[in-house]
Amino acid sequence: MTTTTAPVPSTEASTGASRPSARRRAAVAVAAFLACAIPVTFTMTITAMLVTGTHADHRFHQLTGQGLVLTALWLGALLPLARAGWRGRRPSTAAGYRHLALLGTGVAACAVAPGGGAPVLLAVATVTGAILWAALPLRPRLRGTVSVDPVLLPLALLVGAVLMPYAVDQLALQNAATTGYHSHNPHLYDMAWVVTTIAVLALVGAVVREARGLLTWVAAGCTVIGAAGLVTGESAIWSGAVLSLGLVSFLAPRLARSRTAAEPTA
Amino acid sequence: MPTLRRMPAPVVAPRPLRRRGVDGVHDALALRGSGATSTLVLAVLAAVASVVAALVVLTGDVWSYPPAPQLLVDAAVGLGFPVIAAVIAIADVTAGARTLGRVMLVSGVAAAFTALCTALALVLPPDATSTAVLVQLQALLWVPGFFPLITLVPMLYPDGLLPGRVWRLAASGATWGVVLLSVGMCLYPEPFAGPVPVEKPVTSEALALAFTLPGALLVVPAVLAGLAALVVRFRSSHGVARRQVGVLVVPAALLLVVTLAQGAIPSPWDVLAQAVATLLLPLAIGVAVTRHGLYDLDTAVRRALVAASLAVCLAGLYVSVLAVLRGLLGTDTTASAVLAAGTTGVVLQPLAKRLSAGVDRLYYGDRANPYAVLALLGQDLAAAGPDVSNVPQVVCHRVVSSLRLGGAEVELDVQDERRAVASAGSTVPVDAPAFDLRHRGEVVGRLRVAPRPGERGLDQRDAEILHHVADQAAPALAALQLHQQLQRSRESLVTTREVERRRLRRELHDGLGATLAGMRLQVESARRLVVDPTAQRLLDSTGDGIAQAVAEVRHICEGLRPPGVDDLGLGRAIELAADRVRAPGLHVTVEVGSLPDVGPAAEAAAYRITAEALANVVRHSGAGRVSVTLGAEDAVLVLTVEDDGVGLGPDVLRGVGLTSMHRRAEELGGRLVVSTPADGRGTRVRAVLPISEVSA
Repeated sequence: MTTTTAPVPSTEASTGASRPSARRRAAVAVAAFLACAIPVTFTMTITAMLVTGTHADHRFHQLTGQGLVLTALWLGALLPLARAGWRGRRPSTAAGYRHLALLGTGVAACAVAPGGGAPVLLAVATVTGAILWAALPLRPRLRGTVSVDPVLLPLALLVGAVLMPYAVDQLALQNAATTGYHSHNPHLYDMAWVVTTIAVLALVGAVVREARGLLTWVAAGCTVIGAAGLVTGESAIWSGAVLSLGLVSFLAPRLARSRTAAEPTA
Repeated sequence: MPTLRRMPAPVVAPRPLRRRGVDGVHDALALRGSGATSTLVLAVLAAVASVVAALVVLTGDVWSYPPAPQLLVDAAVGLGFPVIAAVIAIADVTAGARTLGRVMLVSGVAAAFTALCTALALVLPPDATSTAVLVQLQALLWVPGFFPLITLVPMLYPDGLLPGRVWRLAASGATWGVVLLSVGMCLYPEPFAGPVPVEKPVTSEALALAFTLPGALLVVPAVLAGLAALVVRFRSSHGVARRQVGVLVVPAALLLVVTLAQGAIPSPWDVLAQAVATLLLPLAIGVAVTRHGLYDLDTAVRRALVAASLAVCLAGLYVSVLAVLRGLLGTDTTASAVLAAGTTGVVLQPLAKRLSAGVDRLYYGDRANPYAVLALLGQDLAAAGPDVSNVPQVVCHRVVSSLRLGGAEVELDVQDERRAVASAGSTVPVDAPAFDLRHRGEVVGRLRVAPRPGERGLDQRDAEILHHVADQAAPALAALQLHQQLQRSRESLVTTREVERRRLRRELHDGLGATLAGMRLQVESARRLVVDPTAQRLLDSTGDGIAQAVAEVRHICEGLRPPGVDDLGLGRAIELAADRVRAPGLHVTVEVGSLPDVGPAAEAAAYRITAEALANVVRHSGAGRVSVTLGAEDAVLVLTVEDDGVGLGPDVLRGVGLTSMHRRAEELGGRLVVSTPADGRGTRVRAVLPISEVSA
């Protein structure tokens, strides 16, 4: 999207393709099943809650951190790994970063706000995720090329500036919730987890050339969170800002200047 | 990697641009004078007014009042358009473009102060005189703050000139319409819907209607004319100019649609949609400036981009770190702020360096990474395949795409003649920097490059990397040079051969043939005079021998040159060849255009290819109709033989006949293509043969 530079390995799964053994495939399948069990269950239950209107006052959380955005990020990190492993290919760098960012921010947020059963959830997610990585025939190449994009980095830091204070507030609220619904159902922690993951993905996408595609996840995540906030009556200013950043994240990679005159004329 | 050579004379050291760009705000202001300064001051005032207005509304608990959301549109215009106007003002652009800049500045300033008046009127005491004045001002300014954007701006974009003389009427209508509408809106007795309705100090419904109605009648068609002007300009422009106009077409149409649909869209989405659509206009112009080179502002935009990017990065980093630290350290805000500021300060220098490199890469490609350019060039050359004729194009394309240069051209020296064999990007000027392509100490050609738009010459780093590229490409281009020299020698040989054959044929036919014929007549005369039977037998035998020799000379003459070509001309000879294949089931047509003297080599090749193609039609095609077309176009002879037979199947192998036809075309430097006609039936043989300069 920015410039054509040194030849680098493709960010998509493409190298080292060889049909894995049946035993390896079985291991990948079992590991993927274990890793995807929780997010798939979450997706189904949250969708059911949204459809039936259960806990309607938590609709924003159901649409975003507690629910659909979280599970989209989670499954979006796991499925490319599992798919590449099943085919015997090396997963893309971006897929590896996606999974690590999700688990890393989850663990960090859990360390700050350990209430409501978050440590158990993170432990299961980390262990099953680690098993999936161990089962992969080829692991993602995480050593990317550091190449700061002058358009995407400010955008990523703006995303961080809008999302990080929110995450800190949510963690503080989670810690403060010692009784009631949120004390055993850590929606606030989930919200902090999701927005922090998005902020980290934005930063990685702006800095690592092979992970530029992460900006699409940032754009989608911010757009959904912002729109859900506006629809469900969250702070209009914050939601509008997040929605705007989401839309800009969709456009920014495409607006980067590229010379188009290099067409043959003779 | 090749060693670095000294930079040759044509490469100029980087110098500040004076004619086609800007180099820093100070230089630009010095160039443009007080006009640019006042534009910049007004632009800053408008931006400040817009931001202050937005902050006042967002912090003043007045969002629920109807004028507040409208303020978003005014603030968007007040922020976006003065920025573009300021950029145009400090650039070395045409007078027309400056006119466009002034329109955007006036509109932006009016919108910004509309926003400020609205914001202040919402928060100031409703009964204060100043509030009423602000309301009156707001009513006066919002029309010039918005309508020029959908009338005059699309009409004048991008060069500030109207698409034609007829558009003057529309532009005048838009201007007068905006003026009349502004006065009408200012005088209209509609109270300001703040916390308490505020009346304007000066109102007159009759006067307001008198101004508003004609104003509206002028503005409405002007709005449509604005969009139409943009579409007309888009359709009539090409290349980069088309892309520059194209980026504004959709935002302008969207703004028009959103504006027309204001009543149908529920609040506050109507205002939000209009604000977004309004902001898209300066964004689109920004895209045209940065991406499509509008106004040649690369240098200024590059520097501005580094500064803006760094500022936003530092602000974002500071806020993020501060938020995290406040979460970790609790309420100790001073310590958090100090630590956040410290962190930001620590990353300032490396971040600036990285961002500068990133922007540099955005504009100059891989100039800072010669290895990447050479690696990609190597890949391109490997992917180009064995045909060395592709090499110059590959080199030009790589140079332009990897270094973002304006254009590139490869010239090759072939037999004391230098000619351009490939180019990419824009046209390369005659005095453009050139880099010798050296192979084994000999210059085989030159790589000429056009500097980037807005730059006068090449940077030292550009020169160094272009030397490397030239060194890398030179062996492949030397191979191409050899190939071309070989081809020219081959063409020369073939031409010489045919010239010599024609001469030989003429000598044999007119010299030896005529002599033998004369001798035969003499022998026959002598035979009639002698009575001795032995002498008669001897003379008969001599006469037969001479007749046989005459026949052999004729046979040799026919073998040297195609029959009839030298005597009757190529066109007639081909018609005779076509006559020979005519049969009851095969309709043959021949169409011969006006032919210059095409030279003996092209004549022979054209005749032989025609004869072979017709023979193939008779033998293999099963065609009922065949047409032969011969004509000359731009120093080439074009021959087409097309039939309606069974055509060439996918598995057809090239036989002796096809190979011979291809060889005859190629040895002259021409080409032959055997294909299936558009209707899918039959076969078409098309030969393009260069007309030889040697015709003696």
